Amino acid sequence: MADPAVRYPGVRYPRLLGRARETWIQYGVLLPLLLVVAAPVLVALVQSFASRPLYEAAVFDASSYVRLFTDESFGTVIGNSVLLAALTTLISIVLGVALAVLLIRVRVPGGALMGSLVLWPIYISPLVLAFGWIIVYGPAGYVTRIVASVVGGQPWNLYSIPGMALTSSVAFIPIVYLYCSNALRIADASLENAARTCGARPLRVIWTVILPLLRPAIMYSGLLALTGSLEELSIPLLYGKPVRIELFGSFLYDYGLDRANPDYGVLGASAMLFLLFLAVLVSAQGFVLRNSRRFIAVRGKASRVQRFDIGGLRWAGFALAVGYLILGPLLPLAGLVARAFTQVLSPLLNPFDVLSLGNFQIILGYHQYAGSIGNSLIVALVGGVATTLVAALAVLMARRSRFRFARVTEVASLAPQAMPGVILGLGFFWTILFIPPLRPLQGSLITIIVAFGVAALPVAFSAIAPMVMQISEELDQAARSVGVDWWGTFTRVLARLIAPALLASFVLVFVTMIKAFSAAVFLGNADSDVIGTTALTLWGNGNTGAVAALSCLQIAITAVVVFLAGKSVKVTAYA
Amino acid sequence: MPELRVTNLTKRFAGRAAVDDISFTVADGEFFTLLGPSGCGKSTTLGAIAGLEAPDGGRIEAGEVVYLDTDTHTFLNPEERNLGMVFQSYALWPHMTVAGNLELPLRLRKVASGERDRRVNEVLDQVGLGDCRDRYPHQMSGGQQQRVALARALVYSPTLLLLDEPLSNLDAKLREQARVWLKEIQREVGITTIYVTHDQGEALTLSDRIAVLRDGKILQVGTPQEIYELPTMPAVADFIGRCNFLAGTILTTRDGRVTVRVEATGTELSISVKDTYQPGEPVTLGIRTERFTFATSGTVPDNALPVRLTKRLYSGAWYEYELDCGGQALFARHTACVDGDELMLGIPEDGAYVFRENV
Repeated sequence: MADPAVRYPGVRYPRLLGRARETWIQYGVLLPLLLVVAAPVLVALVQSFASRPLYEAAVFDASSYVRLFTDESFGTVIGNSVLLAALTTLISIVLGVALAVLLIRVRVPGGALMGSLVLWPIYISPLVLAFGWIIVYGPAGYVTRIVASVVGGQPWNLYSIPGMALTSSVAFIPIVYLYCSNALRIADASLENAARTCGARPLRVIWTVILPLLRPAIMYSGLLALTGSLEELSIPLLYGKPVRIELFGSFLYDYGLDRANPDYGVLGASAMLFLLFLAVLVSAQGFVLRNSRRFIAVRGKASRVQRFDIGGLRWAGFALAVGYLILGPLLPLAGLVARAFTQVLSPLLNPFDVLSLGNFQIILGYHQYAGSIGNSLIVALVGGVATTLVAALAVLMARRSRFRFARVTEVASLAPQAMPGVILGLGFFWTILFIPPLRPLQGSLITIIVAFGVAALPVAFSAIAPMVMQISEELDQAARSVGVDWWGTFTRVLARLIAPALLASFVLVFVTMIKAFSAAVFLGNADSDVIGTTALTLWGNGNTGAVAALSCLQIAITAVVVFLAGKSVKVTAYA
Repeated sequence: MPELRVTNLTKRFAGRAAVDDISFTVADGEFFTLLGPSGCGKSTTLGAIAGLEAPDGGRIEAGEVVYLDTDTHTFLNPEERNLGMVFQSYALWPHMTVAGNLELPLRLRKVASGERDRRVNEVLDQVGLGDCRDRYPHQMSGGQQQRVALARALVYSPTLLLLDEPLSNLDAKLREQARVWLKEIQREVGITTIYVTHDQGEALTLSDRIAVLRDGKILQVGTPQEIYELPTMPAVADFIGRCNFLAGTILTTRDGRVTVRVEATGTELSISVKDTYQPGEPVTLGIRTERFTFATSGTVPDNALPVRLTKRLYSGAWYEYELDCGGQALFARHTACVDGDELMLGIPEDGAYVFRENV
């Protein structure tokens, strides 16, 4: 400027076949993404209309659907699944909302501490929870036997639809709590202050102002619980099998794995129906979320959340929260830990007399069992990094580019929300089976990483997208204007700014993948077992102690990673 | 420095034209302002020049370089247009120091590190922030950030400078100072500049020429004086300054002067004009709020409208009057404090615009 003679050349970027680098990267991400998301569904769709397995000569008709609908047991499966999902959702919403209001908005002794405890089971696999529940509340469970010795007979039956619903709601209450507590924290305090000045007492304010404001959070988290419990595999598998209660997940599992000669057509048809049903529910989620804006009562500045004083009733609230925490997650987990460190767990024996590390010796001593922990770690680490990277690019393509298929990218990244792990596993299994060049991938860790990665992609996308949206688009535009291209904008500017979201995404994906197993039941083999599939095998063999030990190791791994992540950055749990 | 030519630029959002077939040329070194209310298409036009928007039609070229030509499917990415842009939010990268922000464009242009340092220091001195090299944006005030943003847009000597409401986030006092300063720097550098604002004061004081936009169309292009003194249509007179409009009919025309009958009151007014009109032609009179004079009661001046005073507000430097003129509300601004119910409102011969359009 002082020297007007200064001239610098403009920036030029090399082009390949006339296309800029960003175009190649964007298509390079989208096409494989579409392939891995669509392939399992398409193959299952084709299979559902084929009379025989696709690798044999097949006739295409709708006969599989006819066979499926005329199968009496399928009606029962649908009925059971819907009943379980509805019951789970109901329990989760009632308890989740009650806990959120109590612990966030009411002066309850120990509220803050219990608030973090309620969220905790989000990190624990439903499979592990189910093991814990069976050890404690099962027909031969620790607590069951104590109660039976007092009241006589069998006090309750865990292996029933209500028993399943109670167990799985422990997995979904944290999700309802998470959404509702966030909504409560950001709600505009002046709304309730207005009600107070009109003469409403605390309980009245809670009922007339606060609960209606929670409606969108309740709707959204309720739908998450509904879809989640529909596609859940572990609890139906563990509870349903001994008493022959069939549900969607276990039906597909039995049909596809346990039969000597599975009817692929019927399997495909039921998978398609299930997908269709979930797609409707997930679209409803999107619809609810879109409309929820008009309910949102947010002011820019965060005001301190006031807690209501509800007098003596607070002790009732305290009892509810403590009761849930002890009976729901804590006691079963304590049972699990106790079982892991004892030879046998029974109310008749002092557990300290039978202390043993034998269960851990079984896990760590056998190559296959120990290997499954290594496999899970590899899958979660590699998968966590890869999924986070793909999701970050997908978010930028969807929200921060002029890419022609921005919308397609977003839909493809979020679509796996409606794909249960069992169906993903089945779809990938068939894809590999029917496309001979892919056969070497069968049973490999790569396949499992891809399948788990597809399942975890929506979580990663939803963890990254909000942070990207919070960053002013002018920061990208400024970079573009001074001469940085789309990719450079990501590496030089955005990647640094969204680093916390990338870390959060990695942790979430890692935790999800350590827990995941349902896709692997079809895809894994003896060399590529993960923790979940190994636990299932051990459980099937009746080796409860080893299962408990393995579950403890899984929890320990998760705890270490979450703790380390929490050290460097505050991670919010996204459901 | 080259001139910028924008030809037949069109951009539609969901079928609605945000920018509707506009064309203009900005001369070498000129300070050119796109002025209009929000939603008029000014920012979209700037975005199209910068390459941040993909227009549906048109051609943009800076000197020999074609930025955009929808006929030949030419679209140069923003990073290859070599222009400097200052954003409303300043858009300083928060994870880089001031020097880091300024160095990035120079690195991309493969400027050697010694030369880079020299240039960064030179430009920072120029904007008066020589001692802020190693600060982070969040450690600086809004005014300082705005200067850094300008420095970043100029440090690599771009072809064009684009400014998107750069002063709107500053408080009033600072904004006045920044105007003077911005104009000085622009003149010193001599860079062709496109400025987008909705603030007419900014536009009038800064610009060499102004384009007034509304609904995606350019209403008028001209120097600040032309835009204010000789608006070609009621919408321009209405947007720049404050203007009253009265329906009337031409009665006589003679030597660059017309007699107009005001419909609301039947009064006849003599107004000087540039165009020629036919007797009987319906027209709209535009009279700026500050051009009225108040006749003292008793005297009946020549060029005056009979009005009733309905409201008077004190606003410091002047009084705001609300008047009723044959059922139509008029607004006037005057330093004198006038009382009374019935008044005569004087209109100088050169104090009104005659428009053919209806309002």
